[in-house]
Amino acid sequence: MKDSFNPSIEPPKKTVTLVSSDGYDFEVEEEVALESQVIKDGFEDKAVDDREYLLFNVHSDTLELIIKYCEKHVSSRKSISAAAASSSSSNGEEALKEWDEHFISVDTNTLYDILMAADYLNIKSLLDLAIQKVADTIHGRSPEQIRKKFNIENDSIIDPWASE
Amino acid sequence: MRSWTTLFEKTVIRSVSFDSLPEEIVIEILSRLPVKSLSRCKCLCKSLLKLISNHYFVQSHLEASKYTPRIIFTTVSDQSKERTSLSSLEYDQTTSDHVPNNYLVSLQGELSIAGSCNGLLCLSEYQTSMVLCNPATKEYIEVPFDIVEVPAGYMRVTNLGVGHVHTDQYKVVRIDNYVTDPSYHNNDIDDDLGYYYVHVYTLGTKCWRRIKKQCHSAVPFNLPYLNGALHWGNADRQDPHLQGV
Repeated sequence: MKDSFNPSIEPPKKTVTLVSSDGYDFEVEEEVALESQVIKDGFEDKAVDDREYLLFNVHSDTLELIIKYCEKHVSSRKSISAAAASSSSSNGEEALKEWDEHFISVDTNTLYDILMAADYLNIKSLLDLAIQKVADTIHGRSPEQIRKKFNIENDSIIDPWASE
Repeated sequence: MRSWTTLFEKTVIRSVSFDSLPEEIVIEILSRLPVKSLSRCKCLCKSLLKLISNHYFVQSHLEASKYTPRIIFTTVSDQSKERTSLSSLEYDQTTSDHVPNNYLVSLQGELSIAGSCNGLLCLSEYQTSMVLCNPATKEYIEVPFDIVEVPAGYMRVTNLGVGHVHTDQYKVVRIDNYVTDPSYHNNDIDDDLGYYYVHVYTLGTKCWRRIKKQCHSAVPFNLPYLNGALHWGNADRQDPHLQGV
C-alpha cells in the first residue's frame, strides 16, 4: 500500500565516497556501502557531507570488485523480497548463488585480495564466500598442488606423523 | 605526502601468500576442511602444522564440524581379527551399499568403541588396555590397564567412559567390576553383589589414578557422558543414585 503511491518520483539516492589505497574515488549508493559492517557501524554519527571513507587496505582493482558484489547483492535482495511479497515464484536465490560462484572464480592473487578486503570491510557474506572458495580449492588436492596454487613455501623438514 | 607513496609501493608488490593472511581467516578456512584435506595441510609448512595442532584451532574445527556430523564405526579384519579399522560415513548417507574402504586409522587388536567425546575415541577390548584415538589427526595412544589379579570366585567386567572436563583435559573413567562367579558359588550369590574399583586416566599424565575403593554394589555397563560429567548408576538396592566425575 505504502509503496504503490507513486514509485516514479523517488528522492535522489544518497551516496558515499569510497577512496581506494591508490587514491581513486568511488561514489556508491549508501545502501551499497552499508553492506560493509565497518562502514555501517557509526554511520549515523557521521555528518552527511562527511561520508567519505579512506580504505587504506583496499586497492582500486579490488574495490571495484567489492562494489560490484555489494551492488549485486543489494539489488538481488530487493527483487527476492519483491517476488516474495507478490508471492510469485522466483529463482532469485538460486540465480544469486550462481552469480556468486562465477564472481569468486578468480585467480589466487585476486582471491586473496578479496579475502583481505572482505575481512577489512567486514562484509560477512563475501568473506564467507571467499573462505569457502579457498577451502574448496584445497579440498581434494595433493600437498604439492596446494603449495603451488597458494604460494606456500615448503619448510617442513619433519614428518608430520612423527611429531607429537 | 610520504604516506601516499608508501601506500603505492605497498600495492605494487603483490607477492601474496598464505602466510600473509590473518590467522583467524586461515583458521576459518581450515576449519571447513574435511579430515583428509586437513591431514594433508599439516605437511604443507610449519606454520600450518603449528596452527592445526593449536588449541584454538581444535576448538574452532570442533565447532564447525558440529554442522556436518559423521558416523564413525569399526571394522575388524575378517580372517585374523588382528586389526581394527576406523571408517566414517556422512550422517545423512542413508544407503548401506556404499561402505567406504578408505580407512581413517588402522589399529592393532580386535577393538570396539567404548566411548567418544568431541571426536576423541576410546577403543578397547575390555581386557588389558585401551586405545585413545583422534581420527581427525590420525593420532592414537595405547594405554594399558593397571589390572590386578582377580580373586577366586569373582569375574572382572570392565566399563569405560570418556569425557572432557572444564580444565580442558580429557579423562577416561574405568570401572572394574568384580562380580561373583556363579559357577564357583553355590549358594547365597544374591547377597553378594560384588564390588568395583573406579580408576581415572587423564590424557597426558600416563597413569591411572584410583579414586574409589571397593563398594558393595554393581555398576551398569555404560558410562554416558552428559553435561561435562560421566554418569553411572549405583545399583545399591537401598540407595540408587547417580555419580559423576
